[in-house]
Amino acid sequence: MTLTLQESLSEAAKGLLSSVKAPEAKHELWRQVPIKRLRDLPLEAACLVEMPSLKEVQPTSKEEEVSEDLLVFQTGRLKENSSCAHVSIEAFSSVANTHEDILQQLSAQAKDDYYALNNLAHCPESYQLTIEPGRDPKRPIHLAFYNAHNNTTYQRIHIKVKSGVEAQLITSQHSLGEGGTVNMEVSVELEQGARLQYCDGQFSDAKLIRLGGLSVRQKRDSFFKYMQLSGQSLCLRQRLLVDLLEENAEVELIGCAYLAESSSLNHVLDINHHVPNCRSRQLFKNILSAEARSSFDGTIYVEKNAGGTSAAQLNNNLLLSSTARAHTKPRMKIYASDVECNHGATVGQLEEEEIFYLETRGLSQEVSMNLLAWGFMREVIDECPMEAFREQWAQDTLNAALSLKEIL
Amino acid sequence: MLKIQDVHASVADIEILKGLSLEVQAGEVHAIMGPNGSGKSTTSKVLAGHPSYEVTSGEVIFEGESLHEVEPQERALRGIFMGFQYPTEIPGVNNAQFLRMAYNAKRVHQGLDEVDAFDFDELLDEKMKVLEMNPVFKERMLNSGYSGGEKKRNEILQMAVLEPKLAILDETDSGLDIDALRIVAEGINRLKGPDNALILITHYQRLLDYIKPDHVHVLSGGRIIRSGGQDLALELEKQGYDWLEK
Repeated sequence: MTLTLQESLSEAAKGLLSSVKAPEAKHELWRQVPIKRLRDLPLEAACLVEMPSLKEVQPTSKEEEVSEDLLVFQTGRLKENSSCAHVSIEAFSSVANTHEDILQQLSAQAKDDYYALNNLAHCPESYQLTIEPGRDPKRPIHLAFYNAHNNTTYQRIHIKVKSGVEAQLITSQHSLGEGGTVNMEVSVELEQGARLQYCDGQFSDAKLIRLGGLSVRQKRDSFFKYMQLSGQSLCLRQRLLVDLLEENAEVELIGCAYLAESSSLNHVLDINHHVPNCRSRQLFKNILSAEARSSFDGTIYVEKNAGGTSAAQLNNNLLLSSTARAHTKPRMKIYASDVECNHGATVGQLEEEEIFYLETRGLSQEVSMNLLAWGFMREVIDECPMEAFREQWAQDTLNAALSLKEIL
Repeated sequence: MLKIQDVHASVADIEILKGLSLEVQAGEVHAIMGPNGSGKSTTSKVLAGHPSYEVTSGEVIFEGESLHEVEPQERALRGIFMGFQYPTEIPGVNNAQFLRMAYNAKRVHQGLDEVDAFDFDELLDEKMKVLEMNPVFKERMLNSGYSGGEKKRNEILQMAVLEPKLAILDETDSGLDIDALRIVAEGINRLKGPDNALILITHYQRLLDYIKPDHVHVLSGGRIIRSGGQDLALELEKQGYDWLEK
């Protein structure tokens, strides 16, 4: 009997899992992750859950804006009859296992990562979305993921953007009930000259655990921009891996998070400049209040033959309480000459003079601090071109946390 | 309106004001002049309630009530406005929206309804016109990337919107070219009235050519050593401060 691609991936991952253990706090890349919160995670996949009406899913779009195409995923599975113009959707369980290359690539990516292997092993369905020519580049494709609040919801999406195609993509996570665990793996493949702007929205859910990764492979003249907008969660740990494989490829990774209570956010990034004349930029800004924790562990690799590289990396953290903590480790490994690279990180608090200035205009200390926190974040929020979604996130997550009535 | 009674004030345990006394009535314009380090800026910060400045003795009374331990926000809501010598840059906060928040905070304090963005926009346009400010400043971030003169003009715009009872303008004339100085001074003059008062802190007489003070005071060593009319300012311009300090 021939296995499907989905079954082959699952079998391969289960084989690899026999020799890979759950990460421990002593492992360098997991040191700042609250491992205790992950210890008793259920590994089995969540069952299908009831869905709310789609009306509740769709973000409020401004009238003048082009609306979006919505694809809804119910505990990792695409709802039946979902479709989107100029996007072909292929479920791995409908494909015979003749894709040795995909199997090898995905197994290699996940090989040492316990949670990525679990995703391969347990994900009920993987999808390849191929974005074809003809799409309106300003009409976002919105993948809305509805997740169970018990067990683990596994999601796996491979996005392929065809040569010369320009597109916008939104993913949003919605818990059906409070909490739950989401294990999401997204891979992106950009063909020559393809352009993709991807906004990953995570709304506040104080009990949510989200693990996963994003891996990106870019060919000549391609452009990829990723924006992660995150609210509070019990634990959000994400790996970002970018391979710039051909010349003149460009990547921008942007992130902003508001972390309250005992939220935890951990980013591990590897940006690999394999070839000459590629550009990369990372900008991650976090606001931490109460007992929140964040870590940023980012590395830019520039290979020996990757001259003409331009790379920038910045991680800024604003602490609103004396008990919040931010760990940041920006790194560069440069083996080429003739490169332009810079990196930096800050961990700081609000300036007394700034608070005083706003107070002298009649704003309370709390409002002044919240306004300054908003100002700190604005630079990143403004980077997201999907205005309706960006405003919804800002209103629901940031403004709610900062008690600001409206988006500034 | 304002009584400063023998105030001693320190910052980082260094005493700057050493027995400052001053009385300001509604409708008056006072100019405080003085050499560098005499305590001019400290005076403005003490009046606005800066947390780093501690009043160790003496009292500041505004409209019959002590300002002792009154927070900066509360002072602002009661009608005290400080125009900063170096306005703080606040990136990411939209100028017009910030101004509306401040305006509405005052209205709520007065028991009035908040105004919406549309109505406030009209009010702001009117005030900006007086100060000959380019409307693009509505959408710019608060003081962020402004030139020195633009920041000062924006301070006066805030004053015009908030219509304080007492405005303390700390070296508002510094950083302004001649034309900007005239426009800003005209703006300030328009805000003068029988019910409000103005304290101008300045190094130079030139601002007083445009805004006529009722009283001129010389601050030196943390207290006022001489008071007079506008003639005193002209004298200082000619002779400096040395002759008074001897």
